[in-house]
Formats: sequence, C-alpha cells, structure tokens
Amino acid sequence: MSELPRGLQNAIGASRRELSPSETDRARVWQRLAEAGVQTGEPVELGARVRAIGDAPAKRSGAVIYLAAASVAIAAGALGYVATKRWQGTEGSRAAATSPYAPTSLASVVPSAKPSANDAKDAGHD
Amino acid sequence: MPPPLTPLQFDAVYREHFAFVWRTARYLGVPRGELEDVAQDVFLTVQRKLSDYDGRVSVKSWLYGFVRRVVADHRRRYRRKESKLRGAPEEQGLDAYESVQPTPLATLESSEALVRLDRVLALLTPEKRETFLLAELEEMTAAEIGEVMSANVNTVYTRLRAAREEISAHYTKMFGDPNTPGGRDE
Repeated sequence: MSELPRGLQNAIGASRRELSPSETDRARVWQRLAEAGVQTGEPVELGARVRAIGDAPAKRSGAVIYLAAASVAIAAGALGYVATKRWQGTEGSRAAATSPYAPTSLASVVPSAKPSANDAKDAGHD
Repeated sequence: MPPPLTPLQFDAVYREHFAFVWRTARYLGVPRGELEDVAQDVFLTVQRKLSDYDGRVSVKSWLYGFVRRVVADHRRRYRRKESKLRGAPEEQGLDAYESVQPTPLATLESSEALVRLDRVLALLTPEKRETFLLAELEEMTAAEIGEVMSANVNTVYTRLRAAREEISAHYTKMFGDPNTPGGRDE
C-alpha cells in the first residue's frame, strides 16, 4: 500500500490528539451518566454466546465441576452394575447347580431339531 | 472453538473506549458543543445492551454501531427542531443523514493540520472517508471496519487503498510534497 505523504501523516497524528477528549470531558460525561442512574462497577451478566459451556471462566469452572460429578456418578453406576451382574452370575450359577430343576446338559435345554443316528437306531430297536 | 470471552464491565468499556466514541462522533460531524449529549446517549445504550454483547464482533465495532445510530438520531432531532423553526419539511431517516455527507472535522476550531486534513477528506466519498478515518486515525483492522460498514474485507482493502491514493494526491497537489525538494509543506 502506498505510503502517505509525511505532512499528511503528521496531520493525522495531530488530528487524533486534537479530536481526543480531555479528562474533563470524560469526567463530565461520567457524572451525567451517574446522574442518569447508570449503575457502574458491577459485573454484567454474560451474553448469549458466553453462556455456552466453556466460554466464560466462571461458567467453565462450574461446567467442569458438573462434568466431573457426572462422570463420577456414571463410573460409580457402571461399577455397581458390573458388580451386581457378577454377583448375580455367581449366585445364579450356585443356585442353578443346586436346583432340582437344573438342566443336566445343554442338550436337554436345546433339543436337537433332527434326530441323531443313535436316536434312529434306538427307535428301530423299539 | 471461539476464544474465551472476558465478561464486559461498564466501567472498563467506558475507560477504554470513551475516547474512541468521542472522536468517532466528531468524525461523523457532531459539533463540539453537542458531543457530551451524544457520548452520554451512546453509553446509556451501552449500559442497556451490555449483556447482549456476544463477542462476535470486536468491542470497537460494536460501539461504533451505537455511535452511528445515536449520531443519526441526534441529527434527525436537530433537523426537526430546525425545520420547525424555519417551517420547512423535515428530512426523514438515516438516508437523510447519510445524504448530508457532513464535512468531517468541519466544526472544529482546529489547528493547521486539522484544516488540511479536513480539506482533503472532504474530497473523498463518504465510504472512502469513513474507511480512511477508521483505519488511519482509529487504527481499526480491515475486519473491524468490514463489521461496522457491512462490507467484506476485500472491499475494505480496496476502499482504503483508493482513499490513500486519492488523499495523498490531493494533499500533495494542495499543500506540496514535503518529501521532494521545493515541497510546500513544513
């Protein structure tokens, strides 16, 4: 980009200074705002985007705590579930082993659809 | 993921951007004697809207939007008052304000440098003048200028390049080039 003439650069710098408010201007407007009831110095609620988890530090720490607690709860739930299942498995096996209704073999639980060759032979003998 | 956003506090916005609001209102043609009213109205709006700021644009761009609107309202009220006094029909809306093309810095009791800058700025189109002022005096980025002027970054660069070339040519023609022997400036 072309460079501005030095005189123009100086004019820009001078203009910036000239156009800037004085401390009196600043204080006077502040005073007027206070008189108009503007509350100052208070943290303001964050905007919509900031409300999303992870944007604002305060919200973020809250979200982290929440997520950590949720993770612990889920992990505890999962462990509990696994332990219960294992316990049920052990107890179930024991109960099954001692039950009068306990199947003696898998074959009795899942009967073969086709009669075996031995079955046919036995049938023949009968 | 967007960068973390620090919550805005009114005091901090006022402290850091009061000068920006003040200067930009002046560029937009607000007379010196009415700047306090305009600045007050801008910051009243800021206070009301502070919780709406979502960080999608820079704070400067966000503020500049308020400055423009408040200045436009201010001008409308001013014209209404004037037209009532004169009995002339009043102009309506922002367009009326834009069409006036206020001479920047015109109302200032200013130094030689300001007078010169004012004279060359007056030769630019409003878009180029605004782009130039925001870039050179306020040091806003092309992205920020694009946000406030609803233009894409390439358009901003094009306008800025053209503004710089035009303004340099006008300035040299009117006041001489201090970088060349015999330049009339300084």
